[in-house]
Amino acid sequence: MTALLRYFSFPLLAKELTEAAARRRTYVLRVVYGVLLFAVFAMISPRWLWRGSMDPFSVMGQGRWMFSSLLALQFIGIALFLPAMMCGRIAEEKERDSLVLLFLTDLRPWSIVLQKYLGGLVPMLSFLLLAMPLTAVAYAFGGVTTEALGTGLYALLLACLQVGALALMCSAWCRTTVAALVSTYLLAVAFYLGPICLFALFRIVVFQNLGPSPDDFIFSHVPVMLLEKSGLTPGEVLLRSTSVLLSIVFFLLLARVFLVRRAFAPASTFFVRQFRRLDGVMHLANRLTGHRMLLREGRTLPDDDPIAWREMTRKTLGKIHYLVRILVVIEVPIVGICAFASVDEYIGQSIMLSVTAAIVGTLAVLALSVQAANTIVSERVQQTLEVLLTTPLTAREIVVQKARVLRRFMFVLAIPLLTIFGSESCLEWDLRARYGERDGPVVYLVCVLLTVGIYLPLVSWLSLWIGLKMRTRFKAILTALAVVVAWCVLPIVCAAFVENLGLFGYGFRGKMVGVLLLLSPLAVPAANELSSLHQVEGFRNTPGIAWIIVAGSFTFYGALLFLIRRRALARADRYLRPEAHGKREPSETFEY
Amino acid sequence: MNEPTPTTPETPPAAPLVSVENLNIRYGKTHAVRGLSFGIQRGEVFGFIGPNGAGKTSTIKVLATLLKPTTGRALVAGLDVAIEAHAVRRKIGYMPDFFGVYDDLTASEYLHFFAAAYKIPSAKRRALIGDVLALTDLTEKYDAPVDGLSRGMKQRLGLARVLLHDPELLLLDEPASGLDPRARIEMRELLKELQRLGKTIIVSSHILHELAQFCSHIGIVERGEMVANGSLADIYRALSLRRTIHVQLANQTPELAAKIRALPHVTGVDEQPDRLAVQLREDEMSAEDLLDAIHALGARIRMFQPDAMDMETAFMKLTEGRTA
Repeated sequence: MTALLRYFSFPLLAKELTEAAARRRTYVLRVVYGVLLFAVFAMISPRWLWRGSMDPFSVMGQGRWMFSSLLALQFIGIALFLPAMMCGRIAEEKERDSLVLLFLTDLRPWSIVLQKYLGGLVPMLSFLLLAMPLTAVAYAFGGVTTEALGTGLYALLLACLQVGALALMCSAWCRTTVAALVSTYLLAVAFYLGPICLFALFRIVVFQNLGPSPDDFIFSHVPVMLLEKSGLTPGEVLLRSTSVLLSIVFFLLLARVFLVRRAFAPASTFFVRQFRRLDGVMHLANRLTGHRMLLREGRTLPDDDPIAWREMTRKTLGKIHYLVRILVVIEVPIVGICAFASVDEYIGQSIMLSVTAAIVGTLAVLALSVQAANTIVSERVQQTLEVLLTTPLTAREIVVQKARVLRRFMFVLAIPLLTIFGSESCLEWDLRARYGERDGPVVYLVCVLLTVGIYLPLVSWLSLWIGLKMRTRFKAILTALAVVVAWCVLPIVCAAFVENLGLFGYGFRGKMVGVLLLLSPLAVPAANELSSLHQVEGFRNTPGIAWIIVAGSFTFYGALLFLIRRRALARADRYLRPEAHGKREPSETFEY
Repeated sequence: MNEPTPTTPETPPAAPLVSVENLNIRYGKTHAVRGLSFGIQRGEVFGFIGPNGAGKTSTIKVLATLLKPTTGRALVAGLDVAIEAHAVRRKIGYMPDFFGVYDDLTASEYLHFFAAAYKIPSAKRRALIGDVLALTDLTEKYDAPVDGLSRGMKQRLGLARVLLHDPELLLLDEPASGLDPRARIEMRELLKELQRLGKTIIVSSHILHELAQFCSHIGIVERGEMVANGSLADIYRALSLRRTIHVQLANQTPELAAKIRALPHVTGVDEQPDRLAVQLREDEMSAEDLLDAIHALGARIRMFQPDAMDMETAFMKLTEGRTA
């Protein structure tokens, strides 16, 4: 009996849950999740919920719609929160060098994987329980069958298990939590959206967009697809979820393999190794060309800017010849796409360039944000910041030198974007003139130049500013990405709610939606690409509205950039040496 | 009109290089440093001793301009560290208890990096770096990657770094921490050399007997309070007030022990199986007089051994191992 109890004691799970219970972060996240869930649910609930002037019988059966919305919100919650909660489970043990201690105990690798897995799932499941009262409300309105309820909850559980297993696999593979987080999100996008994109491409290329409609089989690995068909028996639901279950087992199996094989793997230097290998090839090639170099690296020793010197001569994303290689790798396919697009003046080519610009722009913003958030935090993590701060270098000088290096990286990211926008401008010049678009080509050109010229520095300084305040790499990168994404998406979501709920009078609502949309940095570039700046909700008949919107929007973001930069520099000393300004670390009982 | 009689001007006492006055540091509810006050003259080597969590690192961080005192103040060369932090940084060299490395630099590049950070003119740097590397016995590691150096060498490189701008005050937080015996000895010799060069040094350490070999002054802190401060001799003298003397008698009886207990200036006698541990007020009666007095009582003395007062004994006597 004692042996049996020992077998089911789960010491690692107990430790994980105890740690989670002692962290203030657990409760903060739970409250944030709950507040967001309830707020969004209240916003998307039909207007009769608070107007009450309609016939109460008409609301009967509306519960199904509410339940579907609730499930959708929960799926989004799982996709956003669970990777962040799960990706550090094994990677953190590696960072703390404590994984070896676990191997020295009686715990077997499967036991470690499963206990870590459960340790990450339990907090997420507790988040999902927050939706119980809302589910009850939806159920009370009617329209939700017991089968639909069961299938919905089963799909949610599967989504949790699948995303959790994927994140745990990344955690077992990666050396650091940050790498695990980034790879989880990238792999999740590839896993869930990859087959859908491939199918769409296949349909366009092979069947000219007229072929078979999306087949369930292709997307059966996505738990949400279980909700597509109603009236299924439990057996059928189980059968349809086979691929999801198999994928969960597969991810856990890989996590088990990686746990052992990559337990002591060094920090990934894949790109550095490839660059060094390429250095060797280049050196050999230089012999043939008589050692003529197009680009020479800067000084071998620092002048008066040691931080910038080190970043520019020692870091992969600071060295000029490495940056040029990265640029070439990005630029060559983009030039190919642009050349392909310019062959024909078909309007679809312009759309293809817009999509390319959107993808490259998104990746550029994310890469820049991660790099900028990490730049100061890396000094903290390496424990070199404290020593730097006792030199006569001011905190402002440190930040300025770091920002100078980021500018190089920014240029490398800006060139491909400008290439795409340049090609698109040539196309738009003809198209807009031909079709008599009200957003003229000049507006387009000015808008894209301002987008690149203001947005990239804005993202860079915003993320740098966030990184100044943070103490760990994980927090800095996660916060910077969250702020950038939230800033882009939230105004659009709010605008959609205002529109859907029919809040305010018709005329004012239009203006309100327009203003809310403009608060998102995505709105103006997107409207510019779609040639619909003059159609912004609420301002359709205003003469010269396209110019007004471009000027107003970029003046706003330019001013914001100026303010953030000034704030970051003015308060750099306060952020870097908070203790020297009287701010104390939280007491050791609270892990933040 | 009588001319004022010229008087011989008295030499004013030299102002201390470091002056800490009623320093208090709080971290939330934790009172890490409680009313710490001490002064350090130029050229002194001040050993800062205390158990973990006693407040040593916090005090050193205040002097290094990294931490603001909750109350009280600290002066370096007359400059308030909280107000004139930038000027103070030119006068100090701070070596933390960890060695933050730039993995991607060589030893000379590392020093060039910090020479630039200290704004030393480019023309002077090469010679200066050669000098500090020679002083720290790292000349042959000029082009060696920092990451490949042993821990002891990294510590010495750290010391070379803090010497670059020729600071008046060196703040060394646990410089011998984690070093092997050879590296510790090398570090100790290096500190002695710096002492000979006239540097003022504040050094915290747990290796007590090593501090005793070159520290001119010692400050022992516990729970954020200074429990002893002064030269080694002062501290030993202060602690010797109740020296324990181990006495072994060939004719030990309870009556004889009682007679010894009744002797003047003896504060207690602990009867142990093979000896008596006699507590003596040494400032009022010397150990030699006690020997005579015990002999006069008819005792046949087999062993008479005053407790040795070394650094570790002093530390153990003064502290209780509690943290703030």
